[in-house]
Amino acid sequence: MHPLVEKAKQEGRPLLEPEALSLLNHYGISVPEHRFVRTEQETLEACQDLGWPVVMKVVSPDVLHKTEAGGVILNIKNRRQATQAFSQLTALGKRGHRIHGIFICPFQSHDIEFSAGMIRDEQFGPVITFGLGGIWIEVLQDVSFGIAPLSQEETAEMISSIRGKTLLEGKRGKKPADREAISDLLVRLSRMAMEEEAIREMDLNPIFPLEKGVFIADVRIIV
Amino acid sequence: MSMDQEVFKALFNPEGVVFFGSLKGGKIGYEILKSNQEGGFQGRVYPVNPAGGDVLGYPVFRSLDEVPGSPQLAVISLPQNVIPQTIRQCGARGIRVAVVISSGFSEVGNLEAEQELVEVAKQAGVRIIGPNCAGVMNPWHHHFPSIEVRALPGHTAFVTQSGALGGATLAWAEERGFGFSKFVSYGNRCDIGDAELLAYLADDPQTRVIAIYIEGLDHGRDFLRVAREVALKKPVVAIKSGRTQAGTRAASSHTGTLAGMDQIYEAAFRKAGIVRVEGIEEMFDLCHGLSQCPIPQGPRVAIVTNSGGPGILAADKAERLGLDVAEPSETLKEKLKSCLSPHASLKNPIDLTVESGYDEYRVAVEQAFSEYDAVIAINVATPYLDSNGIARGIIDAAQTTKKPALTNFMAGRIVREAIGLLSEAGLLNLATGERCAFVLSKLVERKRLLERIRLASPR
Repeated sequence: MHPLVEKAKQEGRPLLEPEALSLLNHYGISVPEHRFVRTEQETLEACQDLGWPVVMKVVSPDVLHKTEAGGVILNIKNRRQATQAFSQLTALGKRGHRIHGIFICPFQSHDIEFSAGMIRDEQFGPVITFGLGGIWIEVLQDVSFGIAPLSQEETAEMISSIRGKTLLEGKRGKKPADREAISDLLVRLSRMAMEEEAIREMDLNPIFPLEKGVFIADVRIIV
Repeated sequence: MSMDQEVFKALFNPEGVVFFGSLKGGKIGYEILKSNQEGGFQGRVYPVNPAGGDVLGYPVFRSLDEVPGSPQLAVISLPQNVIPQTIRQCGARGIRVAVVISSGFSEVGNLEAEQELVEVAKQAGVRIIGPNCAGVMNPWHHHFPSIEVRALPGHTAFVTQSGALGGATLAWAEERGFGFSKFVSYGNRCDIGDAELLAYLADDPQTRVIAIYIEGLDHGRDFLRVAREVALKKPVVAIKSGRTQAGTRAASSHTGTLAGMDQIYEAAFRKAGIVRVEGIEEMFDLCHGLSQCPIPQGPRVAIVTNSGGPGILAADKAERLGLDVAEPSETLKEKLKSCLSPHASLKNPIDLTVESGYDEYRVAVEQAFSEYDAVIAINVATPYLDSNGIARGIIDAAQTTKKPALTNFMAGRIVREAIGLLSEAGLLNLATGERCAFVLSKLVERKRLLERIRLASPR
């Protein structure tokens, strides 16, 4: 068991965002460049370092649904907005939430969003999912399933079997998405699910398909 | 012989069988015995009942102790409460497997009784089929310890979780002359289950196709592992019923709330290389197809017909199911033009028109094979048409290749004899061209599944 998974399990909480990304990285999944900071000074340095615009998220074991709790601030463009975001996020501590710090990564926005995930089935063990992302996953339920461990061929088939696959082909002058990278991501997630038996569920949503690789904009790993 | 092989030999090819149950006319014990006798079972038959006497010409033994020799199988239709002691006696007597027809176990909520049965059987060294099942059959051994219609001998093994559905299927199959290599209704599946049965059937020489009806699995991961290996040897066709149970899962992520049981089963079947069908009718068509037709190399199909409408229906269905219904190449069109009626339409469907007979069908089908992976040949007959000649034309063309030719001769009395010729020649004839397209699409799917399983890293 990976020490981060073990720690989260012992403390009875989901993995924190920096932990989740570090775990994905351990299984060979490329994650966005990011910083974990505690002070306003560190925040500004990190933003400068990553380049504007950025996303800031609260890192707290008590906030599972960060967006709903006001713990995610998108598209921060300058020092003034960063300072303001810092106070806003740290203020969540006054509501009784333990705040470990702030997570910062570059801000990206795409009109196409995908998602990947994992659940454990009583009969078949870890099941990997792939589908449209954002709110579309709930509205259209356009998801395909694969039983872990998965091969590259199997995940390629999962990608081809969703109705929204045409979105990956690059319409209206857009370049097509890197399907091989998505396929590889699903293979690696399936391996991780086989190895890390303490993980109960995973949500990678949204994921932005890039011309080369993918951008994982949010991760939730529940143990 | 390994322990498992010994168990399955006793189950399907026993030399002596003990029947425990009520032997009065109309009672299940009596009916099973009678059916087994009518089916022509050649082995030794030992009815056991404390009343003694004789039944159906067999002497009845008052207890297992009185039974001579060494029977290998017990078929039990006794009341639930006396079953554990009976299983103990069987074990002491060296009987390694019992088919427990009786109900009154977990299916009515009596979990304790089932647990007791499992434990007693384990201690006694007796493997169990059932309880609450319709029994097993091996038509090739004239062995019918079951309450259902006796199956004809054939090459499809049928394993069913529902005894009633199994029985109805057998009755229907009998009407259609469709035979089985083995039949197993395992009911509550307290011991021998899907994975073990699949593993046995994979090496059973009479079985070419395995059909399973499942409502739910017990050991999904084991099942997957075994089914993947089995599917490489023989096609496995599954019907999975059961309501979608989305929402019953405790889930805190989006992914969790989205996953319906049914989609997960779908994914599991795909992974194992199992071909899923929606119902019994599709299952029959497909088992027929898989046991008779060569596997196509790809999805390109030519539809050869003598009538527009049914040809187009078949083409539409084929296209919807992902088959490739491309037009013939110019070269092929030229070749066909020289030997067909000037009115023939050389697209796809290739419409030979109603004036065609042996020659036209033979040439068109044979030529189509030069650039298609499969042919669906349709004959919409009229009483004056030589349907037998058309059948022979297709048969002769099909013999020149290893690619599949599926036929649809319609309809009724006027094509009956021709269908007989096709079936003697080993060609599959189905009631509509659409059903031919369905079977073909599943044959192509099986080819893809096999390739994927072979490619996937073994684990």
